[in-house]
Amino acid sequence: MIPLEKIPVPEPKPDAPFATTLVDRNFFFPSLKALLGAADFSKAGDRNAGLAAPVEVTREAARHILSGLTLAFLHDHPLTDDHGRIDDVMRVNYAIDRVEFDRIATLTLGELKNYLLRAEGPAVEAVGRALTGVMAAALAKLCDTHELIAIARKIHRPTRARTQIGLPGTLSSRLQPNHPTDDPRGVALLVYAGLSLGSGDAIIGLNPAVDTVESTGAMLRHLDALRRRTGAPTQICVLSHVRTQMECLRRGDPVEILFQSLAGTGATLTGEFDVTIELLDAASALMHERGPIREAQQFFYFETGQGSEFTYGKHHGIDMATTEALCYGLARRYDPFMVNNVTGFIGPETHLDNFEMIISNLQDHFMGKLLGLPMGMAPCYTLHSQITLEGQQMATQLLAAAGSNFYMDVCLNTDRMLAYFDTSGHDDQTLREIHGRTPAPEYLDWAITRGIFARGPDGSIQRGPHWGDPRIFCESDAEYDELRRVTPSFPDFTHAGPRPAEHISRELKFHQAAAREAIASELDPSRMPGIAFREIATRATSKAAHLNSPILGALLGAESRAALGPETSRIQIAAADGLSAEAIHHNVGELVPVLLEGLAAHGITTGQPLLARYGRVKLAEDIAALLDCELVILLIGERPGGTALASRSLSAYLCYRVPSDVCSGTTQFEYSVISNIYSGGLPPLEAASVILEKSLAILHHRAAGNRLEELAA
Amino acid sequence: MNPTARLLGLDVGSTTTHLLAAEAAITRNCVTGRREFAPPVILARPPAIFTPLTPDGIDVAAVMAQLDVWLAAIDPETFEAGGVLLTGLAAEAKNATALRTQLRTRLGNLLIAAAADPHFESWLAFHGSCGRLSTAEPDQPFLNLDVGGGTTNLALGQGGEVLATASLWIGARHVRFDPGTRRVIGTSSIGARVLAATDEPAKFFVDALTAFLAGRAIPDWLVDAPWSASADLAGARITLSGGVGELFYARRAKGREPAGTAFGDLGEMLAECLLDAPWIDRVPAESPSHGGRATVAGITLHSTELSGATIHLDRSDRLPLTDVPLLGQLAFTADEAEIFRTITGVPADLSAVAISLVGDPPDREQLRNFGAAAGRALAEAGDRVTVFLTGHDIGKTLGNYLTAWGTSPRPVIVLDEIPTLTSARFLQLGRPVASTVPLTLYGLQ
Repeated sequence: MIPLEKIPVPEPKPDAPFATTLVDRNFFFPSLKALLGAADFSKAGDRNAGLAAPVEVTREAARHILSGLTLAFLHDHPLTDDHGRIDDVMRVNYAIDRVEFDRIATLTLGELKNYLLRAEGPAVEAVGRALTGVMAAALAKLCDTHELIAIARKIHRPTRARTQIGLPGTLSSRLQPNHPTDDPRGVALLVYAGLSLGSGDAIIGLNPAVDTVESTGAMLRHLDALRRRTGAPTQICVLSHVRTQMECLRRGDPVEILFQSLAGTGATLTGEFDVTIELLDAASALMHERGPIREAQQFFYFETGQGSEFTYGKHHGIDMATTEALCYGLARRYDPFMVNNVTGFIGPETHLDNFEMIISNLQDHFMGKLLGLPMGMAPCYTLHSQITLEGQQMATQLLAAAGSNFYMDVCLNTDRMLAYFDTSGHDDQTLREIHGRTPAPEYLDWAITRGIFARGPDGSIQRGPHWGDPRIFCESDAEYDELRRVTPSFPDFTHAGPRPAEHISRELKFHQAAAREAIASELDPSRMPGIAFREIATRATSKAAHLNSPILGALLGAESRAALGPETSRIQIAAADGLSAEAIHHNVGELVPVLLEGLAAHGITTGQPLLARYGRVKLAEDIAALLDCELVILLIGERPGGTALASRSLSAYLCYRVPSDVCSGTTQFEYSVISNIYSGGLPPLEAASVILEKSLAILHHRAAGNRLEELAA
Repeated sequence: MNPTARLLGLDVGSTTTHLLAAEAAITRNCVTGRREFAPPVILARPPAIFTPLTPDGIDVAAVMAQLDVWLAAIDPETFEAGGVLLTGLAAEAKNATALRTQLRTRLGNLLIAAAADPHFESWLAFHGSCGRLSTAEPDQPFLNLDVGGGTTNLALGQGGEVLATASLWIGARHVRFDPGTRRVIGTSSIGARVLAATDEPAKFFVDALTAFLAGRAIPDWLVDAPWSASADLAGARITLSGGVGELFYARRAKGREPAGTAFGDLGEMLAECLLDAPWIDRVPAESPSHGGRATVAGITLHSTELSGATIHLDRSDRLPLTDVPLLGQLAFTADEAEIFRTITGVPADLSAVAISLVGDPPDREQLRNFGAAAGRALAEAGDRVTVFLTGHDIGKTLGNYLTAWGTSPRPVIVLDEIPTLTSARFLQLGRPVASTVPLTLYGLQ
């Protein structure tokens, strides 16, 4: 691995504009970043960042210019951060095959595309090693759907741990047994269910509910026990922060594959993900020295996805596809076992609809494979976007044609902890059957012995007699029932061919529809009679504007700002729809009067409650500053997940203005959160007392959040 | 990481004395939202001893000496829940009270001492033996027969819930032999009456049990406690537990052979006769859990429930509380007179009482009115601790209304999300663990 400081990067140059005239029309782009942004398909994140081309002809003009730029030009104009500097992520991207680059440097991007379409696989792979992320992203923007698929499918990138994944003819999966409370029984059931569907040959990887060394170690040992009990030849991973996993490994826990999320700018990688190149280098060295799978040739599992740099406001004016490709240039340094792309996870502020999600997924797969990575794809969605199950399925069909190494298995598409929707084990099997693929060979042999798959007379692989039956891993029906008892969204596990049985599909889709309805619902004060709300407005002027921008709902609109001023109350209660007005309608009527009664009994002054349409959590800060109160109790609708009832779930964000004598400098806010307030969780009548108790503690200790918990302990 | 609770159980029975220590994580079931124990990890399960009996009753010193041996590596102060059970002949012994007093001293206030409560014993044995089977097959009724030294405890249940219990004076130690011979060296009063009637005491007992199961009359002196509720046994699958139950399954597994008296009692003969009982085809092939240790498993692992995590505790640190009588029920819609009568109309010498709150979950007005009225009644109740139990998740807010938002501190505890309010007469409240209170309901008679 070449030391970071020894990677040669050209000196940054001042922004130079690009202009062209096409059919009597003049087009102008002030910088390379602007050109790259305008050349991509219009996506919500780039629109919100002001980078997308406003109209199609502008986009095509940008592509026209881009097509004529040489690789040498892109090489010599590294993109810089907001201070005009080369960050570490960009630097790592320049660790390329210099011999190959010298051979192709004079090619324009258009010529390179033609070359790749004409070339055989090994030549395509060789070119990839000579490209930076920026070059790969620029190329992707010139490709249509067929081209993104046709070039990517020439590249095979197998990797090896206990199983070898990414071989031609295979389609693997990560089994993701996430459980909202890390209940070992629920995790066990989801592992058994996934294995019975033939999933998990790439990895069994759990996103833990709690990211501590103790919790991560416990879940690693649990997954290890499940792997040994079932005999499935695969590897395990708990997706905590890389530092947590390194500590677990030092303690002797089975860290078989090391996970970390990556970002395409140094500011996001370090400022948000708390990761540096030095840390990743150290992690790589540790895994090579102590990784428990002796036959493993790779040790890292990275996750990426378009839009995180934009969401954190640390994209430096670089578009989403380019920052994503820069992630891949970073990942390449560590020769990972698998890279998983979760474009679509963030929400409509980055990808609004099916087209945006699908095209980004195809670009990501293309860029990752071209840059030499073992790409797996997780086209996914949240219910507040316009992306649907069908769009997700279209993406997987196209990505299977393109040769994605693996997909997710989130049982019945519904992640039980992260409130989003991903591919399922049923989807993976459907894709295997349609595209004639099998799991990794070692895993396939095991699955045949367990009756999960069977070899037909002609040698073809079919579903076996035990396919889809998790009971084969349980000692008894009683054990199976005990596991089911603690696993949410596990209504049934019957199948029709490779798909869930019809009644299951109907139930899942109904819950999604009900949740989307809750998101679309408009706040209606008449449904909460008896509370004299003062109505206020945010800068979001419509539901669509609210859902598609995380910023507008966080600030008061001009009229409300003018109407509000400093008041004398210590606490201000506010309610906002957030992502579910139904959560307000169903809970606030019982909760707020009890809370007001309790606060009054304790002699705490409160202002007349506020009601905000199209509000976000950070609105609490604007209100606190404007009203000059100590604490804002913001009641806000949670992001609906997979059950209809839970789409009425409310959270209380207790936003405390930290006094200047406690925290010097600019005003800071601390939050304590009480969530899951609805009839099926913490009922609103009881939630009122829980919020009261927490509020009194905040005022008493003059702290909220982690600081409060430490002081109260 | 989830907090954990340590559970300790001690069963001093007619024949044997068992100890079981376990640790279980307190988790939130994310399907039901309730706090519950995760499957426990057994910390200690030492071999059982024969209960030391003397002609005068229990050898208290020997029991306590054995307890010292068992507890050498286990600090009883670290246990949050569980119980001690004196059963059968041990409970009948003249000096049972002395033993109970010493156990209370030795084990502190952590544990209940529910002696001579045959229904509770039946309930525990059901949960320790076939609770898991019953939960797994919720449509199938199960009848557990816990055949021990002094009594046979019957419990009918379905879906993991006990529906009816009974107890018969049928057990192995009513006739004692010189081990390995047929020479009788002692009998209980029950044993003497049986031997006066027949030369085949084991067959006599099993015939009586069969008759009782069929609803036919049996001698009154064999009935320790009749069915607590009407019990429809048709279609119920039968499981056995207790020492004789364990012998039954062992004989069934390895094949029939002549029954001896190696244990110096009727145990093997009873097991042999049970294999010939006409209802034997209703005993499923799968053996239930814990066998002869069903009762101690029941008291250790199944007798304790957890309250919800948002509850009201008064500020005077009164927990744990033992032997709190459950005196009445109230609905949230009760009028002030009824509320007053229920809360204040209890014997003056009681230092703590419990009242269960039943019916539908209250709306805001109902809860507020109930809390205010009950608060006024509590003001008349002096220093007596009143414990309210409810199945609904409203403990903290009810506590606030009962105490006028803490401005009128009263000795009142509200425990919510109590899943089953059985016909128990007493409860034991442990010290709070991770914002919940472990509690045991007992005295089912």
